[in-house]
Amino acid sequence: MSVETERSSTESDVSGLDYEETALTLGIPGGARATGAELERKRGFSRTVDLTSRIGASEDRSDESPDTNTAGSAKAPAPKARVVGWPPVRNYRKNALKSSNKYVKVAVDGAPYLRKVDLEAYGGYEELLSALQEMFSCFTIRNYPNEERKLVDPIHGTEYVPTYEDKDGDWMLVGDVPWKMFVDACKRLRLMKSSEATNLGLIFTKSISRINWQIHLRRKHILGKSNAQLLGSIITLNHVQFIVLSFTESQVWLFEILSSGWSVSEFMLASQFII
Amino acid sequence: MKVQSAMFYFPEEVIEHIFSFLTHHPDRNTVSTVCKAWYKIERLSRREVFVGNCYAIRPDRAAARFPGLRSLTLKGKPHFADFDLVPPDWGGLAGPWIEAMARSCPNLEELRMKRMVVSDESLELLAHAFPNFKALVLVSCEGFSTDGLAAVARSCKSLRELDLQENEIEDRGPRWLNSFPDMCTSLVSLNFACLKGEVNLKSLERLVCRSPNLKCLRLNRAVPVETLAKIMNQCPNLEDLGTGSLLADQFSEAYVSLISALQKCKKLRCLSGFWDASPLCLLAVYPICANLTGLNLSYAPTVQGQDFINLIQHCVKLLRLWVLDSVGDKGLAVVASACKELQELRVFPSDLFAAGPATVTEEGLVAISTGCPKLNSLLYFCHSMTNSALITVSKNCPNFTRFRLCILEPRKPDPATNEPLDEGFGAVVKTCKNLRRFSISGLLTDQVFYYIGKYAKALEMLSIAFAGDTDQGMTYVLNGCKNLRKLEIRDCPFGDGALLADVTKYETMRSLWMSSCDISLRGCKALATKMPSLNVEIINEWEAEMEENLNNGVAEVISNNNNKHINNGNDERKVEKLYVYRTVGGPRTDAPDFVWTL
Repeated sequence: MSVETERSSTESDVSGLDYEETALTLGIPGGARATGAELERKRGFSRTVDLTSRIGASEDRSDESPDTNTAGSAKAPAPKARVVGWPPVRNYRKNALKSSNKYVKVAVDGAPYLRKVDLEAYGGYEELLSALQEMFSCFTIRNYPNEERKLVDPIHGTEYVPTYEDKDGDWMLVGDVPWKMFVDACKRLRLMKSSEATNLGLIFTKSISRINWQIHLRRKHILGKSNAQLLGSIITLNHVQFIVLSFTESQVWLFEILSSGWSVSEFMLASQFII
Repeated sequence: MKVQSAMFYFPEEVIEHIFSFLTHHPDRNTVSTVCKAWYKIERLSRREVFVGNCYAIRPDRAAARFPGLRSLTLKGKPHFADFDLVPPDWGGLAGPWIEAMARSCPNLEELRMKRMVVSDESLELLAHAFPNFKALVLVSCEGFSTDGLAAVARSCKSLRELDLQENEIEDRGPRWLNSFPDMCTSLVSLNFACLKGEVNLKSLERLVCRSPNLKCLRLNRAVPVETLAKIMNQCPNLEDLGTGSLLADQFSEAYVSLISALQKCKKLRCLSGFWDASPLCLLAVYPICANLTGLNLSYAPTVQGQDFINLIQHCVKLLRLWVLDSVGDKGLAVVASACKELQELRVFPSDLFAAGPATVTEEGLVAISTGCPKLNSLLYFCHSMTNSALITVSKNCPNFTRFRLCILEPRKPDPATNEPLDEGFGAVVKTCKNLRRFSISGLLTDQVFYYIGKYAKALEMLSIAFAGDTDQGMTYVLNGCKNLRKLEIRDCPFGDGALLADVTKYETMRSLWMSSCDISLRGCKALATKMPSLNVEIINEWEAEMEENLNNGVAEVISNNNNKHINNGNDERKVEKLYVYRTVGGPRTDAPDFVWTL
């Protein structure tokens, strides 16, 4: 998916580098999605990262116009004030349809036994993460001043990536699709050590070593850009640079670019945003 | 007169034999009023009794009058109790009835109860007191647990039917199923779909194995496909099946087994359950769809879109269909084209508060009416409705006996014209001469009640919410609907004038419910004074809250307070909930403190 953007851009200087080697790839275990070939290094005015593995989800989101984005974070029209006993539906029926418990196993790499969580009990990703934090109390969710959170084992400093197995048997990164879709598709959860996640190609290679758990960004602050335009772009938060990986309704997934690894200049993306 | 003397010479046995052909309760009630002799013969030969309001008669009196009673049907709480409008502990206790029957009617074989509170102790008593007990049917009841079911299973030696529909049952574990004794082979119908917990699958399989007469089996969600397949293989004569959870892995042994088992069930006519149904499992059902007369998908939100269409288009003989509105107008259009014999349709809301992406509108209903002219019973939850659609529907389907339309947003007008829906509902009552049950919604003025009073001559039950302008509306109905038996009203501007317009009318009806209307204590007192044969009960929840806050020890003080409140001179206070019913049993003796009988 390529979208012409109007942002001002800086051409990158890619002297001497093998394009394929440095190409941004996003793969899931077992499938080397050859996005590399589809990427153009010269990004100039043009493309965002072609996250073909995310096409489905991205396309859904690209249907949202920028105008509705700001309202999009709010729910669909606020439920009408609820009148007692209206609509006239028996409690039995209400309960039968509502509480469809969906218990899934949660495995954490290195933990001796698994747990189970009821996905239906949570309203969204945030609640789920908090619950996981409580459950595997060896973790803390570190709060950075800019509302960054990571699932971190404070003793060893290892970080964990939340992944899930979906109906097709594929292992996916948690947080991409709308919550309801996730609840429907998720068969089990696994908190994967981020180092291992790297090996599986879940995250960009080489120097990108840390994953931000969640960052809530209010998109209207991002200079009115659409989701599609933001994908693959670089955002600076408190002097730390991140590349925008994917979006959900209210969350953005970012990968932190360590200054000791990638150099910013190696990215051909357009401008940088300051929030 | 000659005829009369000839009648006296008829031997009793002959009259009794004639009466045995009368099965319809109203007919039997009528013949019992002819003369004393007939009253006596009728009451001794009566085998089935239907008590539409358990407080209309004292249990002892009913049991004494009909000592030969074999089958009893009871209804307890008012209908609006299903929607949380009646506080808990209101009443409707089954205990006194079961005790009375145990004393006087030991030959009781069948007990059917709806909206009653049944305790485990009562079920124990039932299990031991009636040696020939055969059938227990509980609908929308509460107050008991699986221990009570175990008692019934254990001790009712010739149990044929255990049918639990939409009850609130406390689950105390799966052991109750083991309580069916090994020698119990008489089961014909077993429905435990409303149980929430686990079931002992081995016990279930063994029970099915030793029940060769099983015709109806409705499982709960905890029963997996593997067990379903095994069960289906054991009973190829099954006519009515409620599946458990229909989740199955692709091409698993269970799935294959299910397919072959279902194909053997040539007599299967009615399907329900479909919990968590995966599209794959639906495929297994296709071969039997052509013979289905009843299909209940209303607990299967996973069956929608193309899956639903693929399924329903095979169901050409369908008479009854219950679905969720997530099938959408598109799904209903397919129903209309495939199910030409359809008589009953119920469309339930899947998302109770917000308008989801695929819900139903007037289009779906019009499509159904066009394609299914035999439709006579409708329950339809939708987000909007137009007058023209209702007019079209009534033209296409003049045979409605039950018509219930619920527009989810109260007081919503016709979106096309912004007018009230008086004309639309009016068209229904004008065209459908046999209409017995009617529920209306949306924006409605007194005009719709004028139509109802004028045209709905066969109407027996009317449910109104958020409708009407003045007392005249309710008066139209009371004056016009000669056969009215139950009238339930909520959130309408009807006041004392309407309530007192025709007080003798209530003696011809089973009950009247009014909540959140404009009636006052004065009006209710007036009604109680004029009509001593009615129980005029007021539910005041403020007192109920107070009761919760105080200890049991001060119960006396509370009842004194009640009297104080009733008689403190402030009769102008609005009455929140009023329940009026005819009775020969006098005021309730088991009324809780928040129910005042005037």
